[in-house]
Amino acid sequence: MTRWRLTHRPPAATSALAVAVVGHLLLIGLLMLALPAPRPPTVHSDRVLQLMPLRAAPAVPEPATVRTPGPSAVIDRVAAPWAAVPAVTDTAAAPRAAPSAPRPVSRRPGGAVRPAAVPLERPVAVDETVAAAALVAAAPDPLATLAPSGDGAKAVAQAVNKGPEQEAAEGRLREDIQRRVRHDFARHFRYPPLARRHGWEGAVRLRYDVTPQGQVINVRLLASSGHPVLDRDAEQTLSGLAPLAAAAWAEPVEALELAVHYQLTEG
Amino acid sequence: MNHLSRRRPSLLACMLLPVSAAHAQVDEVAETVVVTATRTAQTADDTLAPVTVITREDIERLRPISLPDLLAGQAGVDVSSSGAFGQLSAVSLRGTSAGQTLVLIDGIRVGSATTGAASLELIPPDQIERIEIVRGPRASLYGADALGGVIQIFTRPGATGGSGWEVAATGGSFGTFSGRVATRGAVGDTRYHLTASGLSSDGYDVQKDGVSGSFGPTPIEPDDDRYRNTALNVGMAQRLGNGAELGAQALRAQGRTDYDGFPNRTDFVQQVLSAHLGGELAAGWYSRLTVGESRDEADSLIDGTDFSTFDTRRSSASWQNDLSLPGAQLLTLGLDGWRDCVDSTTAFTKDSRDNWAVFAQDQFALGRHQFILGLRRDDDESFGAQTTGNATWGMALRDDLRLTASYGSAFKAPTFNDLYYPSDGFYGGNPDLDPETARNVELGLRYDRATLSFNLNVFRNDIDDLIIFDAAQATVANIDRARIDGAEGGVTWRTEDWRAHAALTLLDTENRTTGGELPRRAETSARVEVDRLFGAYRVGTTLLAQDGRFDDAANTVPLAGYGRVDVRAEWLFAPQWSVQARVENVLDRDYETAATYAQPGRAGYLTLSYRTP
Repeated sequence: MTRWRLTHRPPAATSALAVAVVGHLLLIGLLMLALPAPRPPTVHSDRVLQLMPLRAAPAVPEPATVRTPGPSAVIDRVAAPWAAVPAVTDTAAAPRAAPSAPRPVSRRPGGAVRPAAVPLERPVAVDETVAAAALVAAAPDPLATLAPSGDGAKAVAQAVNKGPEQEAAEGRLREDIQRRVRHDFARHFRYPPLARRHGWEGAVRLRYDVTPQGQVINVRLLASSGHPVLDRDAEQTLSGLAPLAAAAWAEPVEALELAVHYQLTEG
Repeated sequence: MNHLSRRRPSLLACMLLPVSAAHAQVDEVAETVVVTATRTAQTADDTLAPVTVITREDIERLRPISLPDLLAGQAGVDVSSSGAFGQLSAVSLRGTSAGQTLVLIDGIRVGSATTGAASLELIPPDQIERIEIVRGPRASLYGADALGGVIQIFTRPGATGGSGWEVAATGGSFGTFSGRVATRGAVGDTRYHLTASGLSSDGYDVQKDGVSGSFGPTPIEPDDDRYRNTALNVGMAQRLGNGAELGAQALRAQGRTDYDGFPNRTDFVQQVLSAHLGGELAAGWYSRLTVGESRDEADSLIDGTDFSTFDTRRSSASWQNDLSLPGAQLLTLGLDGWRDCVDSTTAFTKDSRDNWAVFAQDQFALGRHQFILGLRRDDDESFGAQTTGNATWGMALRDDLRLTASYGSAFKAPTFNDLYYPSDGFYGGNPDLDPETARNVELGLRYDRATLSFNLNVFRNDIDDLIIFDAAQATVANIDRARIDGAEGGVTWRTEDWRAHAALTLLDTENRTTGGELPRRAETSARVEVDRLFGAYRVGTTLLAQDGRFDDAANTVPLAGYGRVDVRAEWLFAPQWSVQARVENVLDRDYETAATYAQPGRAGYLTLSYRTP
């Protein structure tokens, strides 16, 4: 051991040992904490090719009336340091605990953000609008009290005033756009080489808007895969899609969702 | 769930697709885009490098007693051993020697610094999750000894492995019993695993008694040669957010091996400790710091009395940076350092050495062409600087067919025995040795579909400055040159019920100084595995064959060719429970892969296993 003290180089062995020992003490502690708790059985394999029923949030057919927001209506803005565009994320726990919990109304036909043909700086107003919608929704009569001024209120008012046929048509339109975006996305696939090298897998959920010209804009992260490389790849691929052909809607369509699952198979 | 078949409806959808490249599908039911790619080997990008991957599933299907047994006959692999059950084995790739093949366990270099070889026979298959065999030189990434190729063993389960318990117990011939308990899981953002295993065998008399060997008549020791191995592997990894991860793990295997002669027993320890910290420093810049230590300890005894000790401790640290650049470009930059320390009853003239290295690799694609360029400079305390490089070009002829060509250089570091062994009049180390150097060129063709894949590689490897004993000087010197020409092919066919795999290796080795063949390299080696699933039953067979070769460098002691057939049957008699029976060497053939050392005859084993759903 004296040799280690004489050297100027980092005593790799000592630190490795130290890290390993500390790590395993920690592990043993965690094991003791974890083992008594009954854990739901899961498939014990790391090589199973599996299509996970990764059900994206049902971001579609909007209800005829504005729903009462559940806990998931609280929207945190998580500023992901790696992303050029800050992401919008639902609070993690609530939607997972209750996947069917009512989601915030974020589709705003007359929304505050008027998407341009090019991506905007940042749809800051989205959150405020949603919050406003939530406020309104909390009231018995959305238009009676507490109605905030501005576009958000207008959006809510319009949503409420819509007829069922109009709602259904719009639901179909949204479904159609999301389906086309999925197929366009699938044509521009790639598995990021870095993620493939390191064996990273995961599911990414994105939210986006589409302009009347069919351009995908305002792509933001809804749920991270846990690997920034995959999140970024999905965001960039979606942002880079060519405009949807024959865009046939007059208003921008907002708050659409895309789920992308990156997975590796044994060759 | 039937864990034998692991069938999934989605597999059918993938059957028709090539698996060589990434592809994406839309799952309309789940409203999800599924982007899929073949998992590339972590050791080298296997879209361009010839790689054989052996998974935990394969290990459980074959349930080999030893790791050399599992590797024997795989494409490019040559195994020679002094018997089964922990006896000394040499595993080498592409006609090189064991010391010219780099072995990594969880990314850490392992092996003895005195002999220069890893003791794969002492690493229990029960501790292994995955093996990647990368053929061809990889010195530009891994440095010394990655001359014939790299064998990387992973003992930690994959990140997506879920959680649960696995228990298995085996009993069979030669008084052999083994057991394995493994668990893995996650608590919040922390994943952990723990695997304990043990094997005990009464063995058999490995060396024939009183026959003429290289050093005169072999000793008369008709007793059975026992083997014990107990091993523990624990590890954890903590997600730190933003994709960063901190992890640590330890593997230790220890036990004893008995054999014949002087000494006749070795007590061993094989240990690997490692810790890593990885994460993105900036968008597209992934950085990973790894520190580790491997130990290879051997105490030899004669009839219970201490005889000698050779302990190697290798401490290492590496810092690797992967940069994603535009155009699917992946640039890797790294620093690598290790120190070998030898502690022995033999007074080596020098008992430690340092090696530092800097390396870079760029992987990029231009249309259907793919390139990998690598360069590395090692600076070793004992022999100075070595620069190695690698250039690989791959062209997609179709989306499922790829042609590759590559050139690479490599070197093998002289061992402590070569350099610093104290002179006793008959032998002494030579501190002025240079490393053995090699240049390899190869061509490859690879076809990849989900049901059928094949690959074919032809190569020429020229090795200079081979370290050979010079009797006149009573030491070793860089004397010989060798040329190894070879071809290796593999075919894998997989359907829901069938799995068939065949590997063939052809070698033409020549010591260009003496004109002889290199010892213990067979010109032809083959391995065929066929398994068929019938509902809850699975039956399978393995055929292993090698033709004749010489046991010694002078080409005076021939070893006969052999064929060995193993059969196995497995029954999933209850959910999560299975019982497997297998018979090795069904035809009870006598054969040797090292002269005077017998391989086991017919042997039967029964394994009972359970896994949580």
